[in-house]
Amino acid sequence: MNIFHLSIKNIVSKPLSTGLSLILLSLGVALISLMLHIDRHLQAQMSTNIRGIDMVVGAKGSPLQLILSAVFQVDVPTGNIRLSEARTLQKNRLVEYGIPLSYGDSYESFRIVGTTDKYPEIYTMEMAEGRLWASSLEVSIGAAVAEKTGLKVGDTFLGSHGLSEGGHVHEDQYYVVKGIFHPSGSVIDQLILTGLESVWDIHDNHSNHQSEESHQEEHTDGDRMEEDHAHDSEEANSKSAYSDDHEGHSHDAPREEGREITAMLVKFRSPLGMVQLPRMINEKTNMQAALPNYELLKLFSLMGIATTTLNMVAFTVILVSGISVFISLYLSLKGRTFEMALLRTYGASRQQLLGMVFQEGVLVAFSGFVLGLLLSRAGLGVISVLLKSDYRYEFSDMALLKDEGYLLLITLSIGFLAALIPAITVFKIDLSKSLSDA
Amino acid sequence: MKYIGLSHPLHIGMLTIQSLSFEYDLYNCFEFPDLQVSEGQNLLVLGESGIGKTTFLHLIAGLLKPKTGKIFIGDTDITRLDGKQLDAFRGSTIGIVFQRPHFIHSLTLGENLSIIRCVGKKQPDTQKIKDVLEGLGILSKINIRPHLLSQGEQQRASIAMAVINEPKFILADEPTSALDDKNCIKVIELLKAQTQRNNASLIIITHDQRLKSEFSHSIVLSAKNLTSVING
Repeated sequence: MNIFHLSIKNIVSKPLSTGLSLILLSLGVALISLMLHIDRHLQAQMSTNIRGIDMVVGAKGSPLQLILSAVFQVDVPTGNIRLSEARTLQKNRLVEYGIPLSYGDSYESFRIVGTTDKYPEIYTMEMAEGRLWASSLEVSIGAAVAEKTGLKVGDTFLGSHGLSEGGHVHEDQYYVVKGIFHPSGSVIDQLILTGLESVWDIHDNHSNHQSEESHQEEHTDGDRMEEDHAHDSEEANSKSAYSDDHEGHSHDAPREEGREITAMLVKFRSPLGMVQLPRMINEKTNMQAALPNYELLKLFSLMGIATTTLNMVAFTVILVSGISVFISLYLSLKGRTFEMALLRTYGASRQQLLGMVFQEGVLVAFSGFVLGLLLSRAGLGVISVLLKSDYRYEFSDMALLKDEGYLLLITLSIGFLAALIPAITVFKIDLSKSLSDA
Repeated sequence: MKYIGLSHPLHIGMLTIQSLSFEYDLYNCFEFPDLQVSEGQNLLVLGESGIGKTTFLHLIAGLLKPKTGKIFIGDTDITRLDGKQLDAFRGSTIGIVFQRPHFIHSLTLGENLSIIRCVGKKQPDTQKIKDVLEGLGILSKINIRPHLLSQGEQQRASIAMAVINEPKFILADEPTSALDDKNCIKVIELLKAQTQRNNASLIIITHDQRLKSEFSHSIVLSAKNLTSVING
């Protein structure tokens, strides 16, 4: 038994007031820590996923929706654009590269995205197993997809129409898994990648089912599509046009006539592109250009208001809990004046008793902080489960953040401050008076 | 002599008080008689209420600073000690039995004794705690919080608190005022026995005339606080 044990015993011997202080403290800490984690995670997710992408071109509509659907693969697409128009843009001298994306199907709610091999390249994806897709109906899948669906190299599966489960299944059109990517933390972990032609092939066969397709209005020439489909039996031909080289596509222009893609991710050759191209596209074409950086900045500033408010609420809660610790310490010390005097008569020094009071304050604060962290981790777990089903994004990283270190310092100083006035009373205690009054 | 760590060839007694006085304010001043208590000797200090008995005890315990005078315990003048030194000296040398028993509320009896050993800078010693409780007949209460004990047990527990640090002095402030004759004698016997066991000196400050016959040495604090009668 020493002074430290005594502080603990003192705290434990008043479970109600200690409990109240702990609940308040841990709530405040949990809220802030949760905000920190979500904020950091979103920022990290966003910046990983927009690297290498200066502009997204898609059908007219909400620019934010276009970014969310084409870059982060979380929203439904705004519609389709003509491949020919996209190809023209690709050839613009201000464009370094343009990556066509074509999506609308899914497997077990993982999106199947038709694209070129440049797409995994901007995220520096590496193969964990197998290889990239080479011909129609071959796919390479992200790490998360492989983990959740259990697909392995060589497996086959049927895609279903639409981006959520329960859509029409494209029967008889089996995809073959040719490769699995290493986990990268980017959006590709959650995607099934294939060549553009796979998507076209499947939908050519099923164009009669396309009535529910979100971009149906764009299909002004459905007849043409049917016609195309008739010539389309040799998949290898069409494949070569897109998967090997962007320059090569011009030779295949006739075949691409009427083809559509969902969006194109563009990287500028120079900052000049940023100035000229979006305006040009938005004004002179049927397409829309959206700048991920700009749209995300807008999104973050909107979210910023919410997070600031929540942080303020959380800090208020922590302050109130500090007051609660103070009141609890102060009241209990009032009743314990004699105990303090008693300890002094038996040899305890002022400093020891002072230390004890501070220990009690700081100990409550520290326990509140630890509880708060546990609470925030539990909250993160719940959010992670919820988000995984809705957005397929994970919050698996629960490590300590640097900001949580500051939060610890703040919490501890609040515990210290709460103990300050009670400590002063203890320091000034009049031994003789307290002993004879009792 | 083995218990007198501060022993000195020149020292004349365990407790020596010289021309001691204290004032709360102009209208409340006290002067106390000189006295000397030698090792192992017990002393009864008798006095009416309000005559400064508790003040006297607090002065001897170093809880109050006198206006004038010296208090030697062994050869240490405690009026010259300050702050930490005084706290430490008091903790290792003096055990006080208060008028009403008081304990650390959040601790059990055993833990109370243990924390007192800790603040008195004594080595943790579970056996010692058990021995003391055993001697007072309350060993079975070691894991009970003291405020849940009966009145009589609390009285004994407070004696245990006073002797646990093996003090050279046990000061008792009105230890018997609330007790009937039978228990009064019992408590005094216990106090004496514990004092003897520890080779210490017992000083009881009280207005309880019943104790007179129990002590061979006694002084009376008189109304003027000037005269003192030393018997035998």
